Amino acid sequence: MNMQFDAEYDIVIVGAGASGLSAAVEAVKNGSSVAVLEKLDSVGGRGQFVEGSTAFESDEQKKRGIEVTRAQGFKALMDESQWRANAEVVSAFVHNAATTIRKLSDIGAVWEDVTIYAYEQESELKTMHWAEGEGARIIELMEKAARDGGAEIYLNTAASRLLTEDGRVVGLEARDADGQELQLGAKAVILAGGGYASSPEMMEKHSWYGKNARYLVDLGTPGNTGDGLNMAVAAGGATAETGSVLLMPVAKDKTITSHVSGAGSQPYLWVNTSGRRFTDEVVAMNFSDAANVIAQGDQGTSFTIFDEATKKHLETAGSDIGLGTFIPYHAQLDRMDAELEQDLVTGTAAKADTIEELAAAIGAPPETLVATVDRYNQLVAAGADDDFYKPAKYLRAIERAPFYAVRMVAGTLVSVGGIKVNGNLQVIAEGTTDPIPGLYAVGAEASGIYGDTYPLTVPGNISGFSYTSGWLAADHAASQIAESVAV
Amino acid sequence: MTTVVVFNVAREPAAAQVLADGRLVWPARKLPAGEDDHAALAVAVGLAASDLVGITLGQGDPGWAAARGTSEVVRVADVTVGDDDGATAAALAAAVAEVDGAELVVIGDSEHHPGLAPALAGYLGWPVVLAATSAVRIGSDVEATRRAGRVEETVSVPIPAVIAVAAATEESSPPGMKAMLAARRLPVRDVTAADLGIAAVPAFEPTLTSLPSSTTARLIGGDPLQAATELVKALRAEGVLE
Ligand SMILES: Cc1cc2nc3c(=O)[nH]c(=O)nc-3n(C[C@H](O)[C@H](O)[C@H](O)COP(=O)(O)OP(=O)(O)OC[C@H]3O[C@@H](n4cnc5c(N)ncnc54)[C@H](O)[C@@H]3O)c2cc1C
Repeated sequence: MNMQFDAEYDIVIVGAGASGLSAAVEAVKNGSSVAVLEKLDSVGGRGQFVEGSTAFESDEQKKRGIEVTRAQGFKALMDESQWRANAEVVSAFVHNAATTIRKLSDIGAVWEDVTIYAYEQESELKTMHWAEGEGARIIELMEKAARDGGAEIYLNTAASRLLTEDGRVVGLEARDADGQELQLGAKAVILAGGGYASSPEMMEKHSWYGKNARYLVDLGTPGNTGDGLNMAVAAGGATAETGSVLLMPVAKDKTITSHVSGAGSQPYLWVNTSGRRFTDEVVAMNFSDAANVIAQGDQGTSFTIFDEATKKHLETAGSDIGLGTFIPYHAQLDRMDAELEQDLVTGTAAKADTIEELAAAIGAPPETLVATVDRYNQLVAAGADDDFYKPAKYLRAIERAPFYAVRMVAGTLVSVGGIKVNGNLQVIAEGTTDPIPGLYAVGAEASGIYGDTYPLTVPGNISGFSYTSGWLAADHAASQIAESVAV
Repeated sequence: MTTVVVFNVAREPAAAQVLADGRLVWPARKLPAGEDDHAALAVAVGLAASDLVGITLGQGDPGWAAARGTSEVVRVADVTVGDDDGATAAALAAAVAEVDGAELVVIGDSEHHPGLAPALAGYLGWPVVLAATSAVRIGSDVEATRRAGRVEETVSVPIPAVIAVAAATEESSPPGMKAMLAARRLPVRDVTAADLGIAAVPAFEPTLTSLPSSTTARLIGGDPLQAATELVKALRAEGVLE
């Protein structure tokens, strides 16, 4: 080998988020020498926001008498993807996710509960494992375990190019905090960059929202710019199901814990920019599907319309939907008035004494919105939604002024499709079924367990997959390294 | 005429892991740099008239200091940091004695090891300035600025001396990976407790750490009248009010 490296490691991991840190913890446990590069100035990536994670047949489920078999998990993920998922990857995840929960317990995670995500969602499997301190705590524990095991973690250091020799990856190029270029040798590189959600260009190019991707609001950390996908492709790697992105409805310019955003996320009357009703709003119960609906609309925008009586209902009886710990089920949305002071000025929300004025405030034709509200009130009075078949309990009249409209958009949590991998998380070479030796992709960087959208019926699956794929890749890399030493 | 900087000898609580049963696990292999270490190093670089020698114990990372300006590191390889600041100080003082011409020792003033710098100064028989935020050499003295509560003091101390530096902020621009990797090539002199004729630390360790028995607090906010009613209700429920 004639490359000059600044340093050589067994494994270099690109990204210190949920999947990269999991890989690092396992790699040092295996005795591998490890460098983790993180392009931001702190570790964690979007893994810091994780609420809960999927596993099947875990000790924590068993302890609580919850039975969700691996077979059920496998079938649910395959069915949800319309069998576009890679069965080998799904199987590896389903088979090993329970071990992930145990591994995380071993480094100090305490599991508080195992639940479904939303309420009243019969179709959801009880797979969501909630850790004390949620994903942020898991990140903290993994960072400690990785560092203590000897992993070197370099912040403000971005990998930019894979180095190959005779068809195998032998290292990578990176740029450090001082702007210095460096070349690192590695027997294996694990791409754990968390997908491309932070890159508007890649969202437009790869996600299936196409041009509407420009209206999506990114809700995560800014480092997930698709570098892993670009580096893998440049090194001859294949892609698969690149378009799937995990979205969540959010009021324009608001956070997902905002009460105005919480009100806008309810299954009440939703209209498009023309003031027309366009869907069964009960989709709100599944935030991922709900955001898909909003993202497809004109300007990726919808308006949630309700009246003073419904506002009071949200303030006192509380939210009719559960958005994890962001907007818990039945949480009283009593901060609305305080938030509205600003939101009415910025255009996030509108308030008016008549529907005509409300229409004018949101830029919809008044006669259309009036007709939509009239029709909706008829359905409410009849107690049956003959237009979109929403369950009657979510049909709330819009009668008592003032009237409100909340401008909703779709927020991006993370992209979940990209690099084609096999069941060992090895990157597949374009046009072949063979892996590129020395190259792995994990977490949101890898394709495999999704079709074109994120299935909330198996709640917590992307973080569950990220932690699991991370350590699986580290194990496989260690075994390959051991084999090459033995030869 | 050699300046010494001591680093990686503070166990900061952030590095500890508290297990569900109350056990405390400290990093076994490598201690992260102490919160004040970067500030101590920056002050030491400014004070060093010629060589700047780093001193650390077994879990220290010589590269960390080398990338920030030390020309050589002495590591007491088989001694680890414990809870006994006196024992840590004894090991450090013995290591300082190994450095030719050592006349000024700069160390992070960790709030979690308040006894360390004074004990080190005691072993060396030198004066110590605590809580320094900056220091300059003026002739055969060091003029240091330190914070005492809200008061800022300037003190002048004759060399030899120990200057304990408290960081006011986090490190603003740590060296990049390339500089850190290059720093690893700088010399490290490993010595052992036996070489120095000292006992290995820690002499004692906490056996059990328990969290305060009651830590739950409930915040009651919102409309003052409603909040007050809720507070009274909660106090009644707890039996505080009849
Ligand atoms: C608000 C919010 C809530 C969420 N809640 C959940 C939940 O409850 N359950 C769930 O399963 N998922 C949830 N997610 C999704 C979560 O983001 C993923 O599960 C998880 O973070 C994916 O892990 P990862 O390692 O692939 O990516 P990340 O955790 O984002 O880590 C990727 C890291 O790689 C770094 N990086 C990128 N490129 C480079 C480069 N070239 N060089 C060096 N470093 C690089 C990034 O800066 C980042 O730190 C949530 C996301 C958000 C935003």
